[in-house]
Amino acid sequence: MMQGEPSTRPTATPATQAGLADYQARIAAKVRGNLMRPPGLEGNPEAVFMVRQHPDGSVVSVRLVRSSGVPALDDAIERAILRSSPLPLPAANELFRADLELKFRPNEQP
Amino acid sequence: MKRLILPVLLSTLLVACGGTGGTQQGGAAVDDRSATTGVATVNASDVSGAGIAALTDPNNILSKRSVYFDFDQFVIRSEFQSQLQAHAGFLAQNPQMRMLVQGNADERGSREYNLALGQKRAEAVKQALVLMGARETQVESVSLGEEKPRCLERTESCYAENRRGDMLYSGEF
Amino acid sequence: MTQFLTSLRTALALLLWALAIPVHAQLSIEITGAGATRFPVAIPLLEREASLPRSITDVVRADLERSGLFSLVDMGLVALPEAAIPDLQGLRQRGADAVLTGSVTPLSDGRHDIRVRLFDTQKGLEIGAIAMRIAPAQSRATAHRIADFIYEKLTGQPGYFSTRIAYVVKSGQRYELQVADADGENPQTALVSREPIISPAWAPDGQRLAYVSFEAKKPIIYVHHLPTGQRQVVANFRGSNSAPAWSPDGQRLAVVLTKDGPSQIYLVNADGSGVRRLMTSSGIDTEPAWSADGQWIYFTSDRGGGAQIYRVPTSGGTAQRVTLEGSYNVTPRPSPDGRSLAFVTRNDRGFQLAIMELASRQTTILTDSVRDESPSFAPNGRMLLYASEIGNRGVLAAVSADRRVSQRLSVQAADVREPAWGPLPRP
Repeated sequence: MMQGEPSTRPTATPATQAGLADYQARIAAKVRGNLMRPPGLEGNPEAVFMVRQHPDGSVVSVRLVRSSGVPALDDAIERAILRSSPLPLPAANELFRADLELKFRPNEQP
Repeated sequence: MKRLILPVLLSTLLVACGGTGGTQQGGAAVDDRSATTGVATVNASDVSGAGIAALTDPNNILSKRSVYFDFDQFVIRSEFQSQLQAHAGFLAQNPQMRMLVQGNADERGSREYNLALGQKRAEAVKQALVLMGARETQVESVSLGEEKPRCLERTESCYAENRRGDMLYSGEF
Repeated sequence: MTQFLTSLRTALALLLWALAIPVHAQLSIEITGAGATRFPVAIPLLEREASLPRSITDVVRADLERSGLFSLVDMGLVALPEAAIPDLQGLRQRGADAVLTGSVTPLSDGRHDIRVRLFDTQKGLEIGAIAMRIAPAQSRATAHRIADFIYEKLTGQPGYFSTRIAYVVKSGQRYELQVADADGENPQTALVSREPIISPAWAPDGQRLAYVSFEAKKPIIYVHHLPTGQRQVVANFRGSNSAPAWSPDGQRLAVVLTKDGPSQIYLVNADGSGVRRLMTSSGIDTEPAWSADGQWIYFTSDRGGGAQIYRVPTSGGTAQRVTLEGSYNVTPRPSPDGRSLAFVTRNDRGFQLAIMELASRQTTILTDSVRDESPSFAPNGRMLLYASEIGNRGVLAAVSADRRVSQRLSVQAADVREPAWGPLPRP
């Protein structure tokens, strides 16, 4: 558990940051695992989705914020997010965020 | 050249007659021409000098019709000079005779590229014959590429046998 | 202590709210790469499918499976009628991201009415439907069409299951030019000959095949109209005539002739008229192939010594060398999107298929076998058909342009070679 005084600087403690990074990584891993890149996808397209989730991780809504320009990829990403419901939960409750901004670059090495 | 046109005409006629093999829409019609290979004939009485029999007499050098090449090479080896000289002489003495030189390649690599290699070999044989006295118009050089191998094994000696130019006279092609 | 920790957590959470992640409590996550390789899809039986002489969904499943892009969720003998909305949540729980529903209705005139719908179980939406009336004999063609519909709806690219392929079968001294469905089924013979047939090339209209036949003891180029079986000599010049390649508009052919000396590339109208030489070189120029935009002709040449691939503008001009590595690169085949070039390369293992991304010149070997030749792209550019060899016997195989999927085609013949993948059927 955490030791010592909470930092007074305007950043999270290393432990919290680590917990958050772990939470992000687990969500990313689950969604990535469900994402199928459309065949013949060229270049390095990026899409941004907003996802709202219940406290149990189940996906409430998926909204396309910035299209990749490839409809088949936008579709594939949306399916991958829905397929990943319920999303992984953080190790500590306070790290939970109902709203997630997911940025996808499927042609980039993870 | 005229003699070569015959089989083509034959096949065109066959297609015209046999075009009823069409199946349903989008299907391919069958044109079976396996039974027909147009063969032209030559009148032996026209032949002078070494008689036409010499062409097939195993004791006559004119019965030797193949020229072999090294790997990836198109140069006529010296051992074939006398043979080519004899054929050039026969062609010069018999201007009505025509010759088809068929070049061949071994099977390694692309079929079309091998066709081009075989052509280079056939052309080398033709040029040698013309230099030795045959008329340019008497000899046509064509290629069979890797399509008609004489030897079917995958050995170096077999490949060497398939890197070859063959000389065919009127009536033989 | 617990209380202290709780308040500490609250304070931290507040800190994060207020400072570390300002404005919204949203968490931003970057997701690079993609881990799934197959799209899970359920293709249950069609309602009253048994009223057809042959199963449709068997063929649809086989097409999708073979593409390597789909995995099939087993539905047993369940049929989901086209008229009803399926239990999408239940299907999602069984792992299907999409499901096909459909019905077959025999009509009084002997035909069958076929209706199918495709649903996205994740989004809970119908994503498309098609209906058609077919004769029972069209079951296979219909199945390929349904598979194309599913492929296009789920990948965003046109499918290729309704295309046809041409190839040459050799049995003894008999050569047959055959045309079959893209899955190798339904073969039909277009030409039988005692002499070799090579280099079949599909016209863009899918109706005509150009090829080289040795039936006159030398290579001559023919164009064969498949629906009627009529054929025409396109090039029969003194010397050899070979390597026909259609222009993208189907009006012209690039061919290789030796009438003026060595093997050189000429352009000729599809009826054989208007022959003109594309360029002049001292060595071998052969295997021309047009880029999809019609701007370039790729070809094999030994002008630099060994066999390498070059390209030249269709209007003529200076040739540029394309392959820079290796001692033998032949049979160029530009991809339909113009971005890459498939070809055959010789390396220390033998002759293998390779693909080069033209912008970067990055080259990938696509096959593991050692006697591969004659690649041709599927119309959507995803798959390549090629000739390979197993136990001294020619076989046909296909590999995806990204190397992920490879398969053998089930052509039932002794020795198969010279495959050519046909264009998309005209609607």
